[in-house]
Amino acid sequence: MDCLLCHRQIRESWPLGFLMLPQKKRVTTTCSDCLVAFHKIDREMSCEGCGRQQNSRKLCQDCLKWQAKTTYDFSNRALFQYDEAMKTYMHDYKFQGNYQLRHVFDVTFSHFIGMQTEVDFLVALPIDRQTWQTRGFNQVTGLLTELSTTDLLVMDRQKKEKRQSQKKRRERLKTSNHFQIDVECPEQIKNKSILLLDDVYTTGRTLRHAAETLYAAGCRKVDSVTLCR
Amino acid sequence: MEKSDFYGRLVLMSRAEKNTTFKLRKMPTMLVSEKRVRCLRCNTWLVKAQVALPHEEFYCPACIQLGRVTTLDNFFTLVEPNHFKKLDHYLTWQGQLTTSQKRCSKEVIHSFQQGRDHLLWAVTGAGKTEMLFPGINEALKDGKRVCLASPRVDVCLELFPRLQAAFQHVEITLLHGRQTEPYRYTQLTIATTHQLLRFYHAFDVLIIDEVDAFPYAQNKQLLFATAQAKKTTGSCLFLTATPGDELLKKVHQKQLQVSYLPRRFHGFPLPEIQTKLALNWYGKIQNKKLPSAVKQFLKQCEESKRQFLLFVPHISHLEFVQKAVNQAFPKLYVTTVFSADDQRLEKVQLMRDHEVNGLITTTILERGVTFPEIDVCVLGADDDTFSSAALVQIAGRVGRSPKRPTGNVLFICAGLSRSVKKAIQQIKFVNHKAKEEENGLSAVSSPNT
Ligand SMILES: [Zn+2]
Ligand SMILES: [Zn+2]
Ligand SMILES: [Zn+2]
Repeated sequence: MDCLLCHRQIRESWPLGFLMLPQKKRVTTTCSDCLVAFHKIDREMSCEGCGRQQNSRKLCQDCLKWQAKTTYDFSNRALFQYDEAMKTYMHDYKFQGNYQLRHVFDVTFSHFIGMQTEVDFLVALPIDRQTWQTRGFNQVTGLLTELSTTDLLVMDRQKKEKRQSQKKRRERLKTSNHFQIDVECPEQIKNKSILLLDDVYTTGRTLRHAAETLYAAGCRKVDSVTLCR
Repeated sequence: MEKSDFYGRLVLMSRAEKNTTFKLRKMPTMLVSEKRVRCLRCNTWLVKAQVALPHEEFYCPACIQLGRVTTLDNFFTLVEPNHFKKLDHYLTWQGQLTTSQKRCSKEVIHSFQQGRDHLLWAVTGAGKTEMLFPGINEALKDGKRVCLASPRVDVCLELFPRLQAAFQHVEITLLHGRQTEPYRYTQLTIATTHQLLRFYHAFDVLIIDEVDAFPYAQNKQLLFATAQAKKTTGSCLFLTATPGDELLKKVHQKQLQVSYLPRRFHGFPLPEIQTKLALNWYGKIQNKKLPSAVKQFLKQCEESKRQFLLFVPHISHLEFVQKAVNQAFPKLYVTTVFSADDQRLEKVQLMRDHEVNGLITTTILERGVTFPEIDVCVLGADDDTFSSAALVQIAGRVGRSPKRPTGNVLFICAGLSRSVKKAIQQIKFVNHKAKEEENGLSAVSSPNT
């Protein structure tokens, strides 16, 4: 198969003796030359609050501000650094809309989510109606394989308002909360633990809006995992 | 959007989009069959499972660089109305054409008037751009919409100022992938062939430069884009220095008429290719030794103080060959260059300034990079990397100057490959054509390939 990113043929090297073992077939979608451009976050060197790569586990400046402003408990973990290579990838996947590119990270990301502490519900952040009409897919659920998520939230953004990604940082932080709970019986989520899933943690504004909505509905603990930070 | 943005174009808009103040024609973006879907912009067949979006929607990754085609959208278009302002004068260029350029340009004008396709086979250095001016002029005067397209961005960038200078009062739109300016509706357009996919029966005259710059597979897509971008009544002019099999077949089958510009502007024929066999040329350079044919070639260059280009098939050969040349000819200054070389421009300049005697290279270098009085040697001409088109281009580097319209073109190979044979044959053929022209014969024939 050809590499999803550079379109060159992937040459797989099998170690000797490997062929003899019955292996579950795993398709390689991206060549190693392309993959080295992305950098994983080292947990021991990441902010305890948002998961960004730094030199210690201490809360970063942004997280200290959040701590001063909010009263609830919330933290994020991320798999990759949001560097140039990742920005290019996100541009092609999300904004250009090349849905095939979900396979570059879906297995790795789903595995990463699976390794987190067990929770009652996995909730992928929803996209609004207009995005469904133009992009045609939810970029978060695209990145998940065989993980069952529950749609506890809906997003209702006013037509005139810009998307988060079109805003400057300060504008983003001021955005109002458009998430609403979408469950038949509110008792279902009382005292439950939730892990929110998103593609990028930028300011944390969107994820915290979702968390606030869930806490207000009686959830016990809400945290999040993102592909990158 | 303005109404004229839709003239002869495929504009992607959401399926849910209510028509604007003017009535638009709406067309589907993809053809959905049982297992596959076909993109109606780039004509690629795609496997459904690989290009599916949620909810039974599909998209095309093949032409996504031009903006994504999906079943969520429709194409909107308006029939090309040729709404152009009439000018008193179009062509402001005052130059003179040679007799054969004049003959070709007449044939081209004729094909435009008749609305049929035509092939112009012009050797490198024949001045084909100038030859196009009268044809473009006539078409513009007739109110036709004209596009000049090339597969290469650098060629488009080079053509734009030349055309603007020749047609000073005509507005020209330049379209290519790296551009940020918005689209404008004008009578004359210069575009990369990729951009043609955005048009729909727009052009009365579509000129495709360097039609053989790409291999056959991509050529098929190019021919699709061409057919879609021109009007059904329009004509297409293909320009080439080395026609590929596909076009020659059409010529043979009389589906395509052809004009020859077999003579360079200075009137001399193309230098013909000499070949020398060297069975183990690669083994020799690995041992820092040069095949004797290369030695002879370099000795001649050294004695006559002529600059040279020495082509090798792969980047990995460059270092070996340079070492071997340095050892055998300590007085010759040479440097190596390859297409992705950061210092490519500087090295080309060294050659121009005669700071070096020659370049050892893997690349034909850009169009417009010409060294007037050089000799050329291709080491390993039978290697797969050299297509017959590339070999003809390489040979065409020699004899560009009227001061020295001849020169040596030497191919060193372990055997005569099909590409080498074809290159030799094509050059012989155009030289034969040039002679025929001289003797006043105008029989239309083509080589047997
Ligand atoms: Zn790759
Ligand atoms: Zn932090
Ligand atoms: Zn397409």
